[in-house]
Amino acid sequence: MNCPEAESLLEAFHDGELDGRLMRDTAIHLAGCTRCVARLDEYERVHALVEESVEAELSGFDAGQVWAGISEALEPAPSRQSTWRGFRLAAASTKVRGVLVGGPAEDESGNDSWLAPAVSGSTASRTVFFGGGMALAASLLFAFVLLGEEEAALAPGDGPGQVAAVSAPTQPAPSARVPSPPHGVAAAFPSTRAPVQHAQLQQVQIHSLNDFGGEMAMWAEPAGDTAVIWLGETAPRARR
Amino acid sequence: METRLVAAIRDDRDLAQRAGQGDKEAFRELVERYQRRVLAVVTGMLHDREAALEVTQEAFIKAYRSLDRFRGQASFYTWIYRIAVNLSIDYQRREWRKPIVDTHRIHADGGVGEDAIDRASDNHPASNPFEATKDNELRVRLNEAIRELTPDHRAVILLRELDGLSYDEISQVLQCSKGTVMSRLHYARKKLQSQLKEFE
Repeated sequence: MNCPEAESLLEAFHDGELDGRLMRDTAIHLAGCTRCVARLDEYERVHALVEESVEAELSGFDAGQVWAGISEALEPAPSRQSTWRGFRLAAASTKVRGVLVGGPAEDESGNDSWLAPAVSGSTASRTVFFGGGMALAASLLFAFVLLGEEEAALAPGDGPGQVAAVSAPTQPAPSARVPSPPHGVAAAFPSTRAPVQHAQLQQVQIHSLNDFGGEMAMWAEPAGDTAVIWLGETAPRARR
Repeated sequence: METRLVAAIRDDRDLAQRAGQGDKEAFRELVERYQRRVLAVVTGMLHDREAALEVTQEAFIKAYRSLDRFRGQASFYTWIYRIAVNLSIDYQRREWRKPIVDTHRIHADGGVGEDAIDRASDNHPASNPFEATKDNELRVRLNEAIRELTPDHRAVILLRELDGLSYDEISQVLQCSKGTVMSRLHYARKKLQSQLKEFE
């Protein structure tokens, strides 16, 4: 093997990618050729520097950080998932009249209370939107939910549609606690359809919601930060 | 007789299978087995330790959520590398229009500092030559040279030099031919070698 032949194989030799015979021939050539050995050293040098360089960047790195971040993410996050599943469902349905999303506010005693955005007069913190082009003549809508542990898992929607706006509740609203209701809303669902199974749903009051002949669903997110009220011709089906 | 590599691959598949059935401890074992190697490649791709940590975690999370699609034809490590490299490239694309900020300054002691050096207006190495040793300057120069490579060339050289992946394995990770791997590797090495020669 001469130098040009050896040079063309040096890189693969360095990487251990030559077959047995070529590997042996190249090694024999290298044993007697300082010039080719110097060329081989250049590959080795780049290898060493790349390795050192990255090692330097990783110095002091605590590998435990990797798993710490991963393990958090592997925990089920039903709250967000089901919330957004609800939004996707809303977006997918042409028959949705409106969706209201609210969150808990802390009252003076530190207890969580669920507030109706439109009623509480909160401007920044609560999310209310009505979509689908439906005229909701009056908008006094009280939502009152006590949270439980179960998750309402929704089945996919059945068609394209629109949703007006979405934003996440971030700040607590002024306190406007609604008295505890005597009964829940499960009865609002037709008996032929499986109701959305939300956790200990307590009360929904709707005032002057004109021309609304559809179904309503409401569920509380288990994480306790969101309640969703669904107004549409067809309530989302529960899936357990 | 089964080689250690084959045994490791089989072991990975068992762990992946168990993880796919919800065994988080099995997945943790996989993470611990490959986190350092994946992190090294991603760090080499991004040169930003925080971003690298984030992308590495994202890669494992994505892998976990896609374990049902991991059928074991490829080894777990080529699979996780593929996810990590693709995420790194995506990350770089997202960051492409932002000013380049080097979050790591290599100090004279060889450690990595937290001071950010804005390279947007300065294409020269980030370290102060009066403070840094020649080795560190060389490293900085090499980092610069690696950054100047395209993400595809960078991925090839990092997978080869940091992890010693074979050409076949790299072609699986990057989903390109072995010839493409060899050509990219050759180009990247020549580029780095010429940068180092300029420095000397």
